[in-house]
Order: sequence, then C-alpha cells, then structure tokens
Amino acid sequence: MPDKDLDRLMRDHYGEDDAARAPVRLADRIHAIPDVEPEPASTIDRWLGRVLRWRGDRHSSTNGNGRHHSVMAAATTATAVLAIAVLGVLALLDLSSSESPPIGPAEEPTVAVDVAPGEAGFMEARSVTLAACRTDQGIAPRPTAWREVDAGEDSSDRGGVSIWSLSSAGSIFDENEPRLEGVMTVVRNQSWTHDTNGRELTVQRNAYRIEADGGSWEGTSTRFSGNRAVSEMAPEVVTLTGAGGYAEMTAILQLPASDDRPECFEIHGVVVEDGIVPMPLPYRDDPGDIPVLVRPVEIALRDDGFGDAAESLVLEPGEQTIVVFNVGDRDHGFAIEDAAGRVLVGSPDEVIPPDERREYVVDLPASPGGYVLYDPLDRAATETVVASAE
Amino acid sequence: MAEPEPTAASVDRRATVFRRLADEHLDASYRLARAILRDPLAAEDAVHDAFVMAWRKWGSLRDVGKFDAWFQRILVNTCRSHLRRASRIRLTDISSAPHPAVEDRDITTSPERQAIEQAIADLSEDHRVVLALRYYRDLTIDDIATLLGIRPGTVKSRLHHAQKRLRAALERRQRTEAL
Repeated sequence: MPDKDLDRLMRDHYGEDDAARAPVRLADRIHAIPDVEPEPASTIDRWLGRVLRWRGDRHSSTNGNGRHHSVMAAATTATAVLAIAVLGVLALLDLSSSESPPIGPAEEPTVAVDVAPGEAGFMEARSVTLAACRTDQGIAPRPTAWREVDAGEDSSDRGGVSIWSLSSAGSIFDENEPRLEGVMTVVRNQSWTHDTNGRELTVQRNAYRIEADGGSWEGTSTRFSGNRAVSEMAPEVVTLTGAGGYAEMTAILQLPASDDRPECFEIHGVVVEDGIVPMPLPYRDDPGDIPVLVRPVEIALRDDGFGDAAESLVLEPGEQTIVVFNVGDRDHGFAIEDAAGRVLVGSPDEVIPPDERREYVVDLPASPGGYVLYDPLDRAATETVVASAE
Repeated sequence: MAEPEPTAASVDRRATVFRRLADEHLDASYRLARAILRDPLAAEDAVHDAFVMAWRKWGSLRDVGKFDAWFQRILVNTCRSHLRRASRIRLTDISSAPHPAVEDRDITTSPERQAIEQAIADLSEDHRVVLALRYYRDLTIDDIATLLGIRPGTVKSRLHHAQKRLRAALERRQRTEAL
C-alpha cells in the first residue's frame, strides 16, 4: 500500500472524530473541579460541606503472622493501601440513584470515618473503621472493612445498612502519629442499571478525592448492587490515579464466582507502575471470625522483565501461590531459583502467551540469599533477584 | 521564600479563568483524547484527569496565553498513562446490556474501520500517540517532538514503525477479502 494511500486512509479515519463534542456530563465534571480541588489545604473546610475526621488511638503495629508487614512493605504501601481504603469507604456511600446524578459540591456525598487502627469490630454503614499507615510518602488510610451481604439478600431493600468486618491492619504504622484529620469527597459519580429479565444490576462508578496530612489522592471506584448473581459478572477493574507524587495504580476487583455472596468482592492485586504487587486482605466469612486470606503473589511479566515493583518484592518461605501475568507482547516462561541455584518453579517448556496468567503453587524453602525470578526463554534480559522474608 | 497564601479572592479568580479556559479547550481536548484512546469513555476520564492535573499544577503555568501548549502536553501524558494501564489490564464489560453512558459511542463498524481500529489497538502506546498527533492534529514531526519531549528522529522512527504495522494489517485484510 503506497504511503499516500495510507496517509489518506488514516486522515479519513481520524477525521471521523472531528465532529465529536465533549458530552455535557464531561463539561459538568470539568466545571466542578475548582469546587472540589481547594488550594491551599487550609481552605478545605470552606470548600467542602463536611469534614471527616480520622480519629486514631495509639495502636499496635503487630500483624500476627508477620506476613502483611513484609508483603505490604514491598508494595509502595501508601498507594496500595489507599486502593482498598477508598473502595471500602465508597461502598458505604448512599448513591442510590439509578440516573446519573448532578455533579458538584451540593450533591457530594461525604462520609464520617472513625479510625481505630489495629482494632477489630463491626460497624454499620456510613461509619467505617479505618486504619492508617504512615509511610515515607505520608499517611495513607487503609481500610480494614469489608462488605458482607447475606446470601440471597436483595441489596435494594437494605436501606443502606450493612455490616462490615474489621481486622488488624498491621503493616507500617507510626505509633507516634495517632491522630489524623482529612477530607474525603466524591468528585463525581455515575450510576446505571442493567435490567435483564427482571434481574437488575446497578453499577456505580465513583471518583473521589482524599486529602490528609498534606497529601491527596484521587481515584475511581466501582460498586455493584442488585439481585443479579455475581457468577453472571466478569471481573471488574477499578483504577486509581495517584496524585501529589503517588504512583498510578490499578486495583483488580474480582467478584467471587459464587451465588452465595451476591454482593461480595475482593481485591486481588494492585498494579503499581510496572508490576502487580500482592495485596492480602482480611475477609470476614462469619461474624466473630475474621480469617485473613492469603492472596496470591501476583507478578507482571513484561518483555523486558518483571518491572521495578518485582525488585522490591519479598517472598515468604513456605507454601506460596504465585500468579504470573504476561503483560508483554510475546510468549514468555517463568521460573524461580533459590540462592543455591535450585529450580523451584517452572520449566523451559512451559510457555505463557501474552495476556495469559499462570498460577504456581510452591513450597518455597528458606533462601537467605533471596530468590531469582526469570523467564527461561530469555534469562539474561529478565533475571530479577527477589528478597526472602526472614 | 515561600509563596504567599492565596486569598479567597485570588482562588475565585483562578477558578473563573480556569473554567473559561476549560470551556474553550474542552471539545478539542476531548477529540484529541478520543483520537489517542479510541474510546469515548476513556477519553472523558482522561480529559477530566488532565484538567484536574492542570488545576493542581496551575502555579507552573507562567503565561495564561500559553495554556494551550501547556495543557496539551498534560493531556497527552494523561492519555499515555491511560493507554499504559489499559495495556496491562484487560477491561471486561460486566454485562452485555447497552451502557447508558456510551450512547454517543461511535458505532460505525465497517470492515475497513474495524481493521484500522484493530490495527491501532495493537500498537504500543507510543505509536498510538504519535499517530494521533500526526494524523489527527496534523502536527509536524518537530511539533510532535516538542510536545512529547523527545527527539525528532525518535518521532520519525515511531511513526515509521506504526505505519509499517498499520500497512501490514490493512494489506492482510485486503488479501483476506480477495480470497
């Protein structure tokens, strides 16, 4: 195909966008920005109707088995924990309209949040216990709340009240910083309802912003409700965009394929820049019983390796599930060696095509020298040393 | 020396100017984001995110008269971030039901358009951005280089590879049709 033909074709193709106009809802969103983006921080109260206060008592930073600490430390914690925080808080908001609601300060839902880091308990909607983590990037809220809906319950009749489970957050706490104050506001929200043969599914997409301790974060979240079984839904992805120096991240929100919990969801991992980092979460199965499910370690495998996030990963000795996601453009393999050069996972014959995942369950031996991750098809370009937790 | 605390009046003035400039540039920004992202909803989010960034970074805009170039760079970078995320994560619609928020989605689905869209979707983020700036905004190689902060030679190289892939994809389709 001659260059001029390709040129003409492409110009025609892109030219079809010439007539596009920004939707009114986008104009509304843009106009709302100055109303919800106060600067400086001292004027926050003037901009926002209500302030949420994070009241934290002195708390323990222990985390039971120590697992959270090592994993979370590996995961640019401030951004990772925020993903969960916002999802937790947003799910409490009463955004029940099935129409796209007006956008702007007058319609912004806000929530009151009490923080009791490290404690466990139960609360009702509109009040959620959060833990807070201080990291080298500032303070980030971390929710310990997780939604639980009884089997068969029609969420539309629940009146916005739901029970949340709480668990010790662990991780990187600074006990000298027990009190936080911040503001969370929903910048915009959309809601729509799918109706399939009388079975409704309402999807709410929210964008929010949190300001605390001189930092701020923005992101979007998605919430599901209705009487459609989750097994009919595919995994959803929510995206959080960091601001104020925080990395971009994406949380993968996976609906468990079980009709028993029509409205539960889990977060399986958080993508921070170049790699997926693990995000273990507490999940309540039964009131009074708060097991902590150990999530798989998820690793992104690119054409040129595992990315920066993998380099800060810390693997726990013992039984471990490792999910490798090929985000590159060509086939890759995956292998792990310990410091002594013993191959623990993978073989050169096993190929992971682009966009596919492979799950490896391995009983990792202790390896003080760490573990070596690599793609057997191109070891030189991909070899990455990953630390071992002590 | 620390900058003086903005007064309520100065913040209000800033908001007024911001909204005026946003109105002036909204449609063009949306179209550019659509051209790069090839998705109306993603374009909306990218434009919104870019304006949020612009509002935040307002202090770095020394000359309001240069808002266009300043904001365009923010927008293109935001679009690139969206593309980067999209390349890592496959978004799956949770329902086959039509999405009310996409009523304005372009549903032209001629085989040729589909082939081009698919070919563009298969390109890397860098290639897609360069293509859109070249064919949609009609920018010169030098202008694209300035906008992206890269060398003109790099722009040429990206454009060349993008065109090569597009050409191959379109020729494949033509061959298939001929059979």
